[in-house]
Amino acid sequence: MMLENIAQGASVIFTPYNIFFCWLGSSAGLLLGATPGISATMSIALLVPMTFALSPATGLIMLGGIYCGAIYGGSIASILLRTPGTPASAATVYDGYAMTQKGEAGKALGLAISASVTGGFMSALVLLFAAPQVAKVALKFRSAEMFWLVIFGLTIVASVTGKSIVKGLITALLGLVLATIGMHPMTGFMRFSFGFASLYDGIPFIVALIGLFSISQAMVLVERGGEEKQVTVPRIGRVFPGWKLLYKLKWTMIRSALIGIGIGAVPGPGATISAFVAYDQAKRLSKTPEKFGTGIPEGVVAPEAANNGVTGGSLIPMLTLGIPGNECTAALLGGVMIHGLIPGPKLFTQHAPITYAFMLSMILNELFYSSFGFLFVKYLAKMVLIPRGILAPVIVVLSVIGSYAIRCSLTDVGFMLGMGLLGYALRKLKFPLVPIILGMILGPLAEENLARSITIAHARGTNLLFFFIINPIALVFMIITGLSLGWSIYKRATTEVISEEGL
Amino acid sequence: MRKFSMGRLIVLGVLVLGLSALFLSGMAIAEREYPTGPVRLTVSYAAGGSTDAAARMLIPYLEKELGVPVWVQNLPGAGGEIGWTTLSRSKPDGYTIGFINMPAINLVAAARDTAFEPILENFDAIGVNISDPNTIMVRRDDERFNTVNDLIEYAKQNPGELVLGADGPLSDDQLAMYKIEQATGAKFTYVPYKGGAPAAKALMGAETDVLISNCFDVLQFEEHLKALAVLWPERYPLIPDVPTLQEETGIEIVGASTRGVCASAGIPAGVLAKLKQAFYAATTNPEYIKEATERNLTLIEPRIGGDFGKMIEDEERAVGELLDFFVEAGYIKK
Repeated sequence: MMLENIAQGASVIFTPYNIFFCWLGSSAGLLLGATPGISATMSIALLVPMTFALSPATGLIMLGGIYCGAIYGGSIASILLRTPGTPASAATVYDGYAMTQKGEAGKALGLAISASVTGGFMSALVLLFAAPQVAKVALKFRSAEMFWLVIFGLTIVASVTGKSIVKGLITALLGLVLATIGMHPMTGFMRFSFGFASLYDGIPFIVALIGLFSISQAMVLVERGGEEKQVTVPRIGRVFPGWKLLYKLKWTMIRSALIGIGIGAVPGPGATISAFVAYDQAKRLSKTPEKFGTGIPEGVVAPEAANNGVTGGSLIPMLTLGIPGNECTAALLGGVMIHGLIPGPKLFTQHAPITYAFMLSMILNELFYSSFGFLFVKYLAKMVLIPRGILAPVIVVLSVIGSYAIRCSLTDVGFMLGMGLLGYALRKLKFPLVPIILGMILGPLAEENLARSITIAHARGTNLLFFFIINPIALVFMIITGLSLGWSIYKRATTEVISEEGL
Repeated sequence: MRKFSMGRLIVLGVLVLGLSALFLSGMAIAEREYPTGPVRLTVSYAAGGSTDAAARMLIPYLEKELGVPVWVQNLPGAGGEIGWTTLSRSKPDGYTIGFINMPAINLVAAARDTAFEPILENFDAIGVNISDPNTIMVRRDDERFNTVNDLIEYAKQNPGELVLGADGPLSDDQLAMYKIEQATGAKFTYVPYKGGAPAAKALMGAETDVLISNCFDVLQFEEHLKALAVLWPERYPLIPDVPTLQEETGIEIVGASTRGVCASAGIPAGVLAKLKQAFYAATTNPEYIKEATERNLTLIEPRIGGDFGKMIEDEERAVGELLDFFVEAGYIKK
């Protein structure tokens, strides 16, 4: 039955027309994702209306290409410009940019491609062969489980703070506070909006990310003088990392890809969080955790494998249940519904040829964006040799365009610039920026799920703690969180932290 | 000092009169010749959502009737408030129209101080043709509820025990729940989710007991969830097997998510007439109806102008009657 469906899907996708759109989507996605200021979600959302005129299969195939290409493409900006091209690549900045500064930009880019392909390919296989089964497990993640998964996510802050844990905690709390701006997800109570309708939904996350990273980076570039180039070592190096190195990294890549698939399949946290969790896990399991942040392959490979693992994983709940796993699939879902397709079992029975063609196209996407990448990143990498004085204004212009495009709102551009100033100030004071991002993503999720857990526990007549304990998956994550915290405290207390300043 | 003769005054007077006549006739010409340029159609939600899909579906047919390009502008945020504020403040020349969603717009206006209330004073109604009735769903394997009567009885006997998950807060689904509570005395514990799909997932995962959503979700989650009733005067064509609440319980409750097109108040009468005529022609075009039905849009007989205005009034009144429920639960502050 499944083989029959795959054969049907193959017959749909292997036509020159559809192959062309698959390639077009991957390449366009790669370029859009690589542009700081234009996120993967935005790339998909911008192009959904264009697919309206295409047939359902072609439209979906193209959107899938954009998704995979953009999630990979973000790493290019992270590695070369120290600013994530899309939120999912925020974790790649650490070691990616450090490698660029050591003159190994090419190697970093090549590792990013290899890891992304591994993650994407594995997730495409899981999607094709095990979607319904994985979906069943995802259903078990209800409010209590999600709450503890999110709290576990917050313990990652310990990994990404660099020298001063206190500073990391402060910025993490700042992120949590920023996330409270807007309507409470349950009660609708308005907080810190000062009457601005634009703040009713809070500061848009992308706007904050662009401001914090891109604008602050542009300001840093300007501060150090316009004539000089970005890197201390004006060399790029070979792009292909070599089979030996890839073989050595295989477990990191596979483990990170699985993390991405798992987190992608659970609706809520997205590619950004999965990249950080994978980075954190790679660091904890490594024999040389202090080297993370100085520019080592594991630091690039872990987040990149995970964020592309999310692509296939997030499509599982989207196709089987119509529930988007993250923002990107929410935009993709629009593309599905616009064509009159009903997500759910009908996609696998009535519309099987289209759905299987789409799933097969996910595998093809890996081929397309990786070949595009290996061929062209060498030229893109020359970006690091551009004088700062030119790079900085370009980044600013792209950031303004990107933040305006979200809601056609100049107010958002204002917020973005404000966050940029904040980011710059924090960097000068040597505070890490990444915990703010973690706080802003995880805070609302934690609040939402906690509020729901309280309400439901009350309706069921149990108290909250009991409610958590009787849900086995929630209990497991409670224990994992405790272990994670304990481990971090132990490590801090017994070893000297020599790593680079946190981001 | 010059002497101001009677003659000069008369010439001045004639000039002024002549210019204003030209100006006014210019406006009349503009009105008669409308439209002469592209028309903007605002959607107060993000691209890819159901309102956006409905707008994009309508565009080619509107363009045919008006003879000019029509383009969609997405203005998401604040539950639709940002888009509706922009629409209500746009120049009333007929070159900006937009979708409003009920009861969302009424609920938002009741909950906050918005720029566009009272609604009928800030918008000129053009036409409406999409209404997605609310449906009540439970899990297929939930043996407690075979009919909606079982559900309502249980909720009356055990107030607050049943957890009802739905999109919200301030959604058409939450309003429908309060309509049911008011009419039957049943009492649910409401848990909001960010959309109908996450609420459906919660029901499937047995976190909640009941789901109130719309017709499309009945089809989407057919395998795991069964619809006990639809809140509509007669059975809905998209889901013909689902009985109406009236059939099952004798109580008639109508609840739906409605999408219609308006412009900011004060458009010249001629322009408004053209817009109404274009909307009617586009939405009764058999090709449009066929395409929309294929894409699972929930169409109803188009209601134009004053009829649409009356629907807005009715919705306003329904929301007003149930305001206390929202206030008591804490979702709206008095």
